[in-house]
Amino acid sequence: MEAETKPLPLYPLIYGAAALLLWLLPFFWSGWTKRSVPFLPKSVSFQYNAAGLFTNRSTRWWDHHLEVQAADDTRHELAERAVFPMGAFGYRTRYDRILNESHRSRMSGEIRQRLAEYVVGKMRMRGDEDVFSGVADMKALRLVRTVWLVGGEELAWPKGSWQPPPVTGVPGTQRLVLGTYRLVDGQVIEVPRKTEVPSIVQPSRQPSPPPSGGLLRPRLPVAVRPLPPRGVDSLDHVPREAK
Amino acid sequence: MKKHKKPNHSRVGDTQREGLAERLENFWLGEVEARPVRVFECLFTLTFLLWMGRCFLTWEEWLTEAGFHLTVEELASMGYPEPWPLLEAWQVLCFAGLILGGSVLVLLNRWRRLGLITLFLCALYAQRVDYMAAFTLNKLYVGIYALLAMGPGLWRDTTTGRLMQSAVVLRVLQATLILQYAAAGLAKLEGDWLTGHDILWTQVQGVYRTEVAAWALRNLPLWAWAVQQHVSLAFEVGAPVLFLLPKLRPVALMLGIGFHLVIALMMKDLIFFSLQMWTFYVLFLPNSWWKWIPLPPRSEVIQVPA
Repeated sequence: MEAETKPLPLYPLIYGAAALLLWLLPFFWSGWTKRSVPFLPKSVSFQYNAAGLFTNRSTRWWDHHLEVQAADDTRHELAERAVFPMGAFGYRTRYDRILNESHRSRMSGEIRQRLAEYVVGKMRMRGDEDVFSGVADMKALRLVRTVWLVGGEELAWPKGSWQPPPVTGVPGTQRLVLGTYRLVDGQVIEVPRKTEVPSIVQPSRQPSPPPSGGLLRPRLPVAVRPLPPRGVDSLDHVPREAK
Repeated sequence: MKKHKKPNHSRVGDTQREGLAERLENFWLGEVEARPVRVFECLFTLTFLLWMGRCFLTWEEWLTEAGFHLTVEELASMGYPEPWPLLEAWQVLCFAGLILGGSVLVLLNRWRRLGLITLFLCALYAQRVDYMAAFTLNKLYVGIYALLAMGPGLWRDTTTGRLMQSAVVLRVLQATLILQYAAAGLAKLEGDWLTGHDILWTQVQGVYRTEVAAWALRNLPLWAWAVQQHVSLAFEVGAPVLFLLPKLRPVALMLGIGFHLVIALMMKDLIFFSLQMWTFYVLFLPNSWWKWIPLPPRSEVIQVPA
């Protein structure tokens, strides 16, 4: 009997070729190189950027806070979740992510200004005691980043899950004010940034390696680097957004 | 969507041709039982429902003007495409209804392709309406639903009653998982993962740190972190070999399940990503395992011909 050959199934063949060219290869290449696929419009190439996370050593982690300065100059932390309830993986909110990502934007100032206006607007609307005693008592709002050094006691020997202390209790050396906004006649007005002496990020104690028996010692960030001037928040690489 | 007629593109020939070309052709384009893909798409849809359910808990902030949303210009300055429009409250209900409706169609295998197209569009909207609430898993939902929706249809084998499909869909889905691991592993190789034994240790300390991770940080010696780091890296880089060689596949499955379990336990909320990844594993289960899975989707129950 003569061997019978049938034509290749056309649709599965086209489907397979299209999947290879339009999905598998760009997905793999973009995940590997962490670069956008060339020749494709941004709205399409964006779709492939889905791997290649956690590729580098973390030297610092940071958190973002909303700090209110009351009329009597006392400082309070706003309950961030009351204003931004949506989580963004990890112990973060959309507020954290927006501030994280906006650092690479030339419009970071505008974004922070709008964020401040949004927070004040939310407080006016809610008037919640659990958020803050009231916008009427509010003198200024600060968007604050706290920075934590990997290997420091708080991170390497944590008592529990990620729960940084209230921003009001964080030493000034670990705080970076991203923006200060005053309330004047109902308007949210940014206070011009001062060229202050840069903050220094320091762990509260000497970094402690885990109980390794000295066989494998972690590479800790031994050199305490000065932070850039306030408002310039290029502290370190920002990890790409997680899963 | 059920089809009872076998399409013409069957590759069952009267005589088997030997040779690499034909084996390759059968591997990619031959007929396979559709059950693995059907089980996958049902589980995948359940994880999508879970993820969407979690997002809907804060629907006002996520989907409406009540939340803070970046403008087109602001997003462009951060490298994002133009966002899709926000919704009114009643439209949010419609959106939720579409997700539920599409999921039901897929789960019940009724108008399956319509269900898949609906879920693809919903996943795409969920990603594009708010990039600050979208992650890698959103991109995978979009890509995988597109692949499933455009895939060659299912048909029922008239002699065995089994639901069949072209192998190409199964292979593309399998390749997606393998290439994702490989890409992630290679990116880590090009990153810092070979420069020390403490990379994982530094990453677990941060904002994803759960109670389990905190306990591990307090109690595990660094060599234990080093082992986890290098095993993870080897698993990701070696995924093509581990998953493709049948003899190594059980190792791949066990390593992968453990890998995502550790991620889920040590990194807050990444359980959603782990669940999504685990669904891909059914695509690699050996045929012998399927007889132990007691509840195939309703439409796949084998009908013994009279």
